[in-house]
Amino acid sequence: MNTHSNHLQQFSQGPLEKRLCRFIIAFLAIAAFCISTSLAATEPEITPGQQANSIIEKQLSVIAEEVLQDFPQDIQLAKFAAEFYNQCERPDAAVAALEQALKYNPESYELCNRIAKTSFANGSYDKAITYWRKALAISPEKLDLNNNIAETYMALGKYAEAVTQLEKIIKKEKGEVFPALDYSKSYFLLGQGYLQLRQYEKAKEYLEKALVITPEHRMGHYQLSKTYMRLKNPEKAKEHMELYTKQKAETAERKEAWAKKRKTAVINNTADADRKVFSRTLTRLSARGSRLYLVSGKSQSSQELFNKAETTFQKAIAIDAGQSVLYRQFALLYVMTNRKLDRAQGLAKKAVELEPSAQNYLMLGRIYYQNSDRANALITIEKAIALEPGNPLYRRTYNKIKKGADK
Amino acid sequence: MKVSTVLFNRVIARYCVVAGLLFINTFSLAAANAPISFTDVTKETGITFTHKNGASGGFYIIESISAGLALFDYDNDGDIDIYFLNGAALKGAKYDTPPKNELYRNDGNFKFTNVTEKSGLGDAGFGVGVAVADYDNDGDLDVYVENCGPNVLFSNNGDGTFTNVTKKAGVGDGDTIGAGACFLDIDKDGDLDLYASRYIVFSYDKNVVMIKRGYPAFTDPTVYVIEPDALYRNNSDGTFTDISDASGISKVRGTSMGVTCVDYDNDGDTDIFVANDNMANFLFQNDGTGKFEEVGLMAGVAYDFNGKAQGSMGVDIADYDNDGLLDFYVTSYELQPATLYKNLGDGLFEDVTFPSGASEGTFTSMTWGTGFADFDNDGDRDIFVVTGNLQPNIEKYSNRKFHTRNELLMNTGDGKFVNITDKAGDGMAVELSSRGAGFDDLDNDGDIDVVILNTMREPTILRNDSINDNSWIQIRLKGVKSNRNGIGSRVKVTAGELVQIEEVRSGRGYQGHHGLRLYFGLAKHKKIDKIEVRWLGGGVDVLKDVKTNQLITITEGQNSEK
Repeated sequence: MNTHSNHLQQFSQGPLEKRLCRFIIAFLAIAAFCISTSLAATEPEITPGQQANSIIEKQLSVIAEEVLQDFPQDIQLAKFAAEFYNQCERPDAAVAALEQALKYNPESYELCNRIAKTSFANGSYDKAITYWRKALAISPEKLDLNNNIAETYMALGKYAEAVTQLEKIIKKEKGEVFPALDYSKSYFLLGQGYLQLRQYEKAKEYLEKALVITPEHRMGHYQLSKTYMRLKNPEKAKEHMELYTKQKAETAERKEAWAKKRKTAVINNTADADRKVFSRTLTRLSARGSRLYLVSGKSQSSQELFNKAETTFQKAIAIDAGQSVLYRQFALLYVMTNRKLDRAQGLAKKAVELEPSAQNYLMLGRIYYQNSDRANALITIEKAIALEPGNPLYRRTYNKIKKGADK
Repeated sequence: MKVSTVLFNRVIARYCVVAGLLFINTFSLAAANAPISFTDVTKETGITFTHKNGASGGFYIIESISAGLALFDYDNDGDIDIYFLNGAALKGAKYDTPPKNELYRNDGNFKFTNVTEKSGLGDAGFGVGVAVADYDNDGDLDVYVENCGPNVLFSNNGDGTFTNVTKKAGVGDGDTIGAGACFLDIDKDGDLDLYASRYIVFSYDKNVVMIKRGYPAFTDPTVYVIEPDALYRNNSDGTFTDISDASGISKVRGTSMGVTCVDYDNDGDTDIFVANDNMANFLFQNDGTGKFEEVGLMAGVAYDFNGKAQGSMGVDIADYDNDGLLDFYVTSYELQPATLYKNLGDGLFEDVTFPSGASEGTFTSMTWGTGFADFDNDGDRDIFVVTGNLQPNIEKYSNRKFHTRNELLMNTGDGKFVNITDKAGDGMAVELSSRGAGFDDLDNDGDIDVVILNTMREPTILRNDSINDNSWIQIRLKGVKSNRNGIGSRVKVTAGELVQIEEVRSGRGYQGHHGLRLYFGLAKHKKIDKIEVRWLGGGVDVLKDVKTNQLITITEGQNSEK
């Protein structure tokens, strides 16, 4: 784990309370911006809501970089980071994050599939094929990957390869109710491939098969119309083109109706949507990152790597300031090593403030006790007992402290 | 082992190493240089034009589409001059000196003089598109400028000056948002009619700004109201009549950008192709009398091979595989390839973008101006594509760039293209946000040079410095019964096995104009067996055993086929 965290050091420098204050202020600012987005803006100046997005994005960027550096092996983290990078139109960074995780998890179907998807969307077709092939080798039961590979071959203009890929797989069709392969798509792609290969009869055969399974396959009608044109059958071509046009018009109408509904706030809707997406990613990335830091911090604590554990807990809190367990475990580190007990007390108080649970009260009580404040220790542990009266540990601890106090 | 043998082996080994290094060196040099090479000579040309897009921070969509350029010989002195369109201050923007279009006279040897004031071509409207032709058949080239706002027709007075005749001609086209334009003879009556395209209906209060992660961005044109393009019939008396409805043009409406006109179905009349932004492209098939039917969908040029509408920008047309049929190359939005539609005959096209390699390097960039041109005179047409992002602030919210390099795709002669941008000289290293582009022989040395209009920046002038001993021919048509420039006429050049066709056009690429002189690279052929001109009016002229490496003018009827 990298302990020289440039970005988060800015957050981590100074007393913890100060850092927390900074976070609280930042979040309050974001909340204020979000509220004020209800004031519709007609000019393209950046609205408060959009500024809020920008703040979240920058924050996410810092977190993603940091956690990826510290936990390059974690699949979940790589996925969340990649989602974020894709949202920011940084597909190269998304692929890099996923590839890094793949180095540690070479048998991950999901990572391969995600790398392939991102590569395909951004025109890196050779890479997409390579990773979809890897994914298929790992999970041969994922038959739909054949469609993806064929589609990618098509995008490369390798129609013969696309057709070969699919011909092999459609032979396995057994008319299952829930087939593992989207045969409609396979037939459509085959039809499209044969059309490009100028084998028009075969193109017709497969496109018609696709339309039997999915009669509303708009593009199926479009490609079949083109096929009939090549087969010098303009009537049939016209028939399918009309179906295509009709379905397209219906889709356009639905789209228009949707657009009309939202016409009043095009700008803010976009900002809202962006914010929702970013907030979700922030939550996921923070939760996963803090969990990893927590596990790592605990492990370092047990190995008595005090400095490392301290940095790790600081990072955990920096990215996910709302989880009481992080404060409690951080406080525990100080308690176990009998260091910085004043800070430990502050951390335990914060844990209780976030979550007044028996565990958190117990930790705070213990720290009061270590700081020779038995009165507060007893009051606090009483609260823990009240919350979990059946827990013998709490009662034992209380009694021990009380006995010591009476002496 | 004997000492002498060891020494001998050492000597051999040393020679092998030296030979190997020489081989590697030679190979590297070969790899570093492509058959086509461009040198950026912008700074030496004396051109001081800087494009303004009128931006004031309002992100008005029209900022993003300006502008095309025209290459033509305005003063009939035998060399190609340059006309740059310019934007104008939009709401909230102010310029000390209001921007206007600028005309540069070619003084030879890549030196140009600004003759805007003298010529009268310094239109101060918000310029977007331009087409050039001798619409009044008086022997000089006139200019039609498409603006965001009323368009302008400039009639050439024949003395290096122009007169605004828009009002008299009746082709102002109202307060519309223009795009590409073309002069064409829709009914083969010998005068040139005018196709004026329209992008969207725009007003400041209805401008829509998209927000991308906190930053304003230009939005999709299809959220605006769209109106049909206009077609004007030339009344042969200096006036035009709007026949948009009667001709069938107004039956469809699209977000028009680049426009060009050719006889794609070889039936002897001129058809119209319109590149639409994020909508199906239009192909208007002419019935020979000036009535049109939109057949893009059935012909296979409305959508790409996946059936998806592209953000089409510019278009050029040529017979890239020398099969006697004219093919279309259409530029597009980012994350879409520029698309090559191969003409299959029978009015049908096939998207051969990927198998041909014609999109290599174009997927991630936004592509605009384009041209088919045989830059190395080897007998097949290469493709030049200019690029540049739409969003000037893209780098704030994406890892894509506003300024990007242009792309050069060399035709390998077997129906395929290879991207040689990296090896084609320093001219290809320029990174700006380009829009219009023109291709013509600026120094009359037999190869085709490039002029690029870059939004909000200086233009780029690329001199073709390709080294080869290939032959060429340049052909200028002079219509007598047909229109004066021979627009719409088809030229077929045969040199041995090499047979090429080309058609004279006014208006092409991204809302621009170039190429009234036709260019044919002839590879190693030292003689042309036959040049056949099929005039739009129906006559045919044939020239035999023509010398290469010259510019010739073919006058209608002077070499009539008996």
